[in-house]
Amino acid sequence: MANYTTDCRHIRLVTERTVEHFLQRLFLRDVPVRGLCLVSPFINTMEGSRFTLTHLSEKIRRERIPTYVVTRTPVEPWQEEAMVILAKNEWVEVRYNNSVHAKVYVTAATPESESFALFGSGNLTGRSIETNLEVGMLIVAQGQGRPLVEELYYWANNRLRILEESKLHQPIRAKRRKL
Amino acid sequence: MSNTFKDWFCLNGRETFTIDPKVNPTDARFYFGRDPLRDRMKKQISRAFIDPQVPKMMIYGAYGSGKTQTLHYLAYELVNTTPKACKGKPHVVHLDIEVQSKSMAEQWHLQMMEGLGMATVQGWLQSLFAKSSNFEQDIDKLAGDPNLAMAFKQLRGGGDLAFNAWRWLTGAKLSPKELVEIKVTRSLADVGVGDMVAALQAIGNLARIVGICLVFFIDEMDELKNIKQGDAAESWHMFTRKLADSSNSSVGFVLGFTAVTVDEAPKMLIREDIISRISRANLLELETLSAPANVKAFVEEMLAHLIDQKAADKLIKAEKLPAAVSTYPFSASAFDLLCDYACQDAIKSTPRNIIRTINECAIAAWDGQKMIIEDDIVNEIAPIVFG
Repeated sequence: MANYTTDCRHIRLVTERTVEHFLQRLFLRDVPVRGLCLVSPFINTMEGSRFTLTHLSEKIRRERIPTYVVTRTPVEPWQEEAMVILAKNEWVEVRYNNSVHAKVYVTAATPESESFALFGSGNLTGRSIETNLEVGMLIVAQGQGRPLVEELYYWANNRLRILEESKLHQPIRAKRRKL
Repeated sequence: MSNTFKDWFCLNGRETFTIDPKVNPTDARFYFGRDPLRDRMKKQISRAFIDPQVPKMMIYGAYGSGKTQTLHYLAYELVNTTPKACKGKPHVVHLDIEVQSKSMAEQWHLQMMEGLGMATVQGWLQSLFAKSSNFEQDIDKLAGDPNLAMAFKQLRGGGDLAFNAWRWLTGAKLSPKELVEIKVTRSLADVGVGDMVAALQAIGNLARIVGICLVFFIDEMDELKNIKQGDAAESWHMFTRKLADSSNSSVGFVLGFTAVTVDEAPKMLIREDIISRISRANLLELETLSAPANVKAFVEEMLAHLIDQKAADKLIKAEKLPAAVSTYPFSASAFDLLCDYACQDAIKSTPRNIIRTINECAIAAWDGQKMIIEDDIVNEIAPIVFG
């Protein structure tokens, strides 16, 4: 069971399966998502977990969600395997930044109050969900959580992407219909 | 050549092209390409300070049409170029309303009070105390109700009693013992929403006496659609009606909600009894930009404000870039192409989408270390947003 603080409804401390909490909310709440930011130094396929990278990629493609991924340059085969999945998705932008240590996940939804974010120690990997001891803060864009989610989205979607170190590996290639 | 995005595109004291007054409060000063609407809104607000002495306005439009920017801009203008008719220094409170299916108007009142803040009201009470020759009499007069007057007096005093008085003013249910301690006979709202609006009005009166004009800018009122129970809907309706009533001349409000047409608005907000009170002229639609001239004006104005024109001109000349200062960092044809994309679908022709496209095009150019945004980049990015 996740352990939640009780004094704020919109900001919750999650101490188990942290990244899964973010993915669960993303998959289970039926709201239009207008943008997704995934910042994680390490990413794998999350095979064996409830939500795999393939599931996530399918959802992104099906719902045409512009998705921005910032991760480190893959050096291990399991990282490259994950990048292959993302490379097939025309709605996913991937940037490599080897200074990235932050783990930040933001869903920008319509309406704004349905947006949410998770930040903490957990990478977007099966190991972080299944075995590691991780903590994270899950924030919903309501009440006191609203400005935090907005700032996290601005940071992940703007500031981080335009850093010189954030080298574009793969742009969003969807819908190349020209005038 | 500098290695930051900001310097690469000669941005004028900002990191990106994204405009978001919630993240960057100074962005509230921007309002691009909608001069007639802007003038109309500002005129309505100026008139409102003559009668009914505070603004009472509702703004609606499609998602991304600029409601949040409009609310922040109007607040910014109110504070920085206060209309002459406004008697006092504007104190603006921004609020993103939060509504659950069973939320009653008490939740609205609570959110408004929390947005205002205990310390602010205490500060006003201290100001009145400092300048008044008969503080208690003044409080009795502006409160208009013995319980409200007592709560104000307790709130000024500080300590636990002040905290409980504030809780009482926010509508919190106090224990009988706590009610006795702060010397009030019953809880606020025991007899209906009128009590809560009366409390807000009393705070507005207090503000006015100390030279402040209180105006709430409340966004996302479309959340009222979440309300499923008749009683709850009626309480919100009555709360709005009482705030809109001519008897309220001390608490201004500008409400924003998402609705493509007025028929999509939360019904409790647009009933005839409310619209007639605020007047139809104060129910304003934010149309999408759609017409090519509107889009061009919007983008040109935006670039003119976000780009350091002198630096851009210098760069264009030094590097012999195929761009004019007015459309930089877009080439002339890329600029036209962007505007064409933005006009394709009236529903998608919103400021949010246009700003997002400009920012994404710039990031794409930055990735390719291109000094100018050419057609190929616009053709890559714009269909994702407008397609």
